[in-house]
Amino acid sequence: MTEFEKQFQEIKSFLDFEDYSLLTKRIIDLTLDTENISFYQKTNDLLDWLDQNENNIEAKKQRFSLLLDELHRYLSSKPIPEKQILVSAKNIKKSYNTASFSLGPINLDLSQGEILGLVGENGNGKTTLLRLLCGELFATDGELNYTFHFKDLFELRTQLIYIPQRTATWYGSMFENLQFTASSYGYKPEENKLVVELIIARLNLRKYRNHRWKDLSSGYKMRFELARMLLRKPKILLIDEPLANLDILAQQTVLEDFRAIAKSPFRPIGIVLSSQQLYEVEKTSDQVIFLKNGEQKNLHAKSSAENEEKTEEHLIIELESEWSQNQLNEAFSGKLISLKFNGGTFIATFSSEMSSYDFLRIITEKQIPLQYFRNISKSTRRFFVS
Amino acid sequence: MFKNIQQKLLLNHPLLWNSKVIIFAILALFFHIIFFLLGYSKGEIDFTDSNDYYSYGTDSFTTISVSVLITILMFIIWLVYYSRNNAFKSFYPKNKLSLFKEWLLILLFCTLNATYAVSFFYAKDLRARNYYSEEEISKRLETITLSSLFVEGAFEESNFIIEEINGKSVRIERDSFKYVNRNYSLKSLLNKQMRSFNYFTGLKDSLIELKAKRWLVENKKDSVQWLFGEFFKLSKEHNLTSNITPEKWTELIYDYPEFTKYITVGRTHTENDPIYNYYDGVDNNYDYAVETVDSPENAAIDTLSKTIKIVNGQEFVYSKYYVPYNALAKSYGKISNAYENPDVDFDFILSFIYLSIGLSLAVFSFKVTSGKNWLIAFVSLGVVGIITGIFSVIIGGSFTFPIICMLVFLSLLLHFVLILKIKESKGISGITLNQILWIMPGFIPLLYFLVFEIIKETSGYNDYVYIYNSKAKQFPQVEWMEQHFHDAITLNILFVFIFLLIISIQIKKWKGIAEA
Repeated sequence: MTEFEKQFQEIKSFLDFEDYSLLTKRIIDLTLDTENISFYQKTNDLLDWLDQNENNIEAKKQRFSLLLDELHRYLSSKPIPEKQILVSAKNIKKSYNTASFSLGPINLDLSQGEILGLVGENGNGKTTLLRLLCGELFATDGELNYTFHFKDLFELRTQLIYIPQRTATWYGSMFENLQFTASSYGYKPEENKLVVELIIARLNLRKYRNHRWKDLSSGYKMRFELARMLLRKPKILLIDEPLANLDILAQQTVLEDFRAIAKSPFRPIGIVLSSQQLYEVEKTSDQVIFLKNGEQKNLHAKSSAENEEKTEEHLIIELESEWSQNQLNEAFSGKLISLKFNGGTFIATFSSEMSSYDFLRIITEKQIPLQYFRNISKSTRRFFVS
Repeated sequence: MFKNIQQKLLLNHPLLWNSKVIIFAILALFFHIIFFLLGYSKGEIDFTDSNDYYSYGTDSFTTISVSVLITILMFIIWLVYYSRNNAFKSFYPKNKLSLFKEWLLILLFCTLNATYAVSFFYAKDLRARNYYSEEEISKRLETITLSSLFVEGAFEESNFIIEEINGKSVRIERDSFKYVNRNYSLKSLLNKQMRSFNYFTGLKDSLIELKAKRWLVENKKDSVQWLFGEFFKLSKEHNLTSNITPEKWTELIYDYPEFTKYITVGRTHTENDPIYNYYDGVDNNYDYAVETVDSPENAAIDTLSKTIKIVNGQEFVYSKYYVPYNALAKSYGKISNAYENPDVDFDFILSFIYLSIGLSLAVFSFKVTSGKNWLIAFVSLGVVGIITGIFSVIIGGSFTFPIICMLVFLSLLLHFVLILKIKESKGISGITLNQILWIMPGFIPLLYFLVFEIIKETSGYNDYVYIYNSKAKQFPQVEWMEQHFHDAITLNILFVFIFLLIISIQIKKWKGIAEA
């Protein structure tokens, strides 16, 4: 089964479970994959119809099903490009003459369809690495190779889209701004409005298209930035703290959007994002780089074995309990390598013979009151607490 | 309408939409039309006016003030809209010539927005030129010029000559002068100065004067009579009055062969004007002939020609006979001026082109770099300018300032080229790029000035001028440089365009270089 077929089956299940919100998004993704104006029109017609007939469930299901079948027929015959490496960094460093901080050496490979998460405390080099990768900073050492075609550095930077944490203000109508982006990126006049409408709908911005920038919450500002990014057809998208101003639900939605955008079978892109939301990023990312004082530590990276932290054999549990450190130490005695109290939670490190089940067994047997626990053996969380 | 235009531009020509040039150019054209119509209306000539004062000073000041105000307001509003989206700064795709096209658009708007006064003054002159065909105006100006010999006016030959006797300059008094093998009294009509218009060249002036004086010498009374007839036709057309007829005029002045006993015919019906009235476009060349006869202030009143009226104790001298010469000279002088010395001449246009180029480069440099870079560049360039100026004064010599300016420009250019070559970090090149763009239009003029100064210095021209007060006839290179200054300034505009074409391509490459 091809990547497209797999994704299509997933989309089909949204229809079966009547999850129209997700279904609409994914249908728009498929529509954009077609790069065909007649599909742009059809999906827009459906969106307009939905505005008036939200509660007409039967008709809605029928229309979605019909469009989905058409999209499937069209895209089944569309060739799926092979995924390529986009950028390869070998021992890149960034140091400054005047500052004591330096970043690197960093090693990474990013391919089409992959998401790379950057985590680490503030001031440890996440933004510097993003700016290095988008060409805003130059590497003082090492090699940074972009494998796609570009004529000059300007053209390279048109394909590397960096969204900083603080985005610049948009002036005028949001819709016009997006139309300007679309026409600058070569969308034909007849498809311009249709594509912009689709992307606005894709990011749940239909209600806000005529709002002014200053009337939008920071979450919606980020969404408009993402809408603009989608029109720019980047090779690599680099986003600094995209989750910072979002509520928990919105964080999950945005991350899911990133996955869908990056992993489009027909238009895959590479995404690098920095965040403090460890677990969410880890769930979404294909690779995670933890940065501590500018140095790299990888989590489940495929290609940079030399940077792997050699602590995976230990079982590391983060837990919250009413018991004191002494009580817990006594309860886990014999199995415990270390137990640290870390601002409200305990970090218990056990030998590699222990498993999560063994840990739970001890909890049950000794009736240890437990509010929360998480196995962070394979999470960058362990780098934060170590 | 504007909304539809903008929507079409947004979809088809994003650069035009973003620059907002079309909308603002339409607005600017609207203002141009208003200024043109105002100028055309102000260019109306009052053929009956013979007053001896300038009447257009206030119009010029008001027009320029209002146009500057509109220019500033339009410029600020445009800048607000133009800086809303910066596709270049956001790394939207640009083709090779895109930045050059953007500069051309900025230049187009700056030119349209900075030249409202040009439309006004051009229309004013155009109105004057549109009264008659050029052939007709030439004929009429000749009639008025010829007639100037037969109205009150200055004399040409002086009452003394300086002769060299035994190596000494000796002043010899005289009361006659020689003209075509015959001596004439200094008060003869043949010694009268002709008042011409700047429309005619010096040669043409001489030919007209010769023509009139030949009539007198050869006793061609019919020709004189015909001339007066033509003059009266003009007067009648413009509803100007006279208290004589052409025949009477002939009778009053015609005294063949001496032309000494004549009645002076006044040039206006009002009190006797001083001879030294100044009208635009009319040659005023009396200053060297005042000693021919007594000056008007000291002369005893010629009671045959003049009459005195006393009103409220004030004495007024009137000509007994007058023709409306002053009114015609003044009005036709304006027409002549509109042809020969229009407000909107090459220099005027050139200065506005340079102003527009300067403004466009200030905006363009801001657009391709940043406000912060622009400001630092402005301040640092100002400081360098002040230091260079002080240094030049201390060192002395006319070479210092241009040489330092040119070296600064070349150093900045070299720095920019190195940044492009190394491709590591932009560093301070955002600041230097602003300065390169601002100094660039002055590079060729500075170079020209420097070469000119060097030629003058090496050929000994400066010393020669001081000692003999002579001009550059013996210095063909200096003369050539002087004559071709305008060409150099004009060709410099071409240089600016070529430079912008090349550097705009490089600026795009430079933009891709890392910031730090």
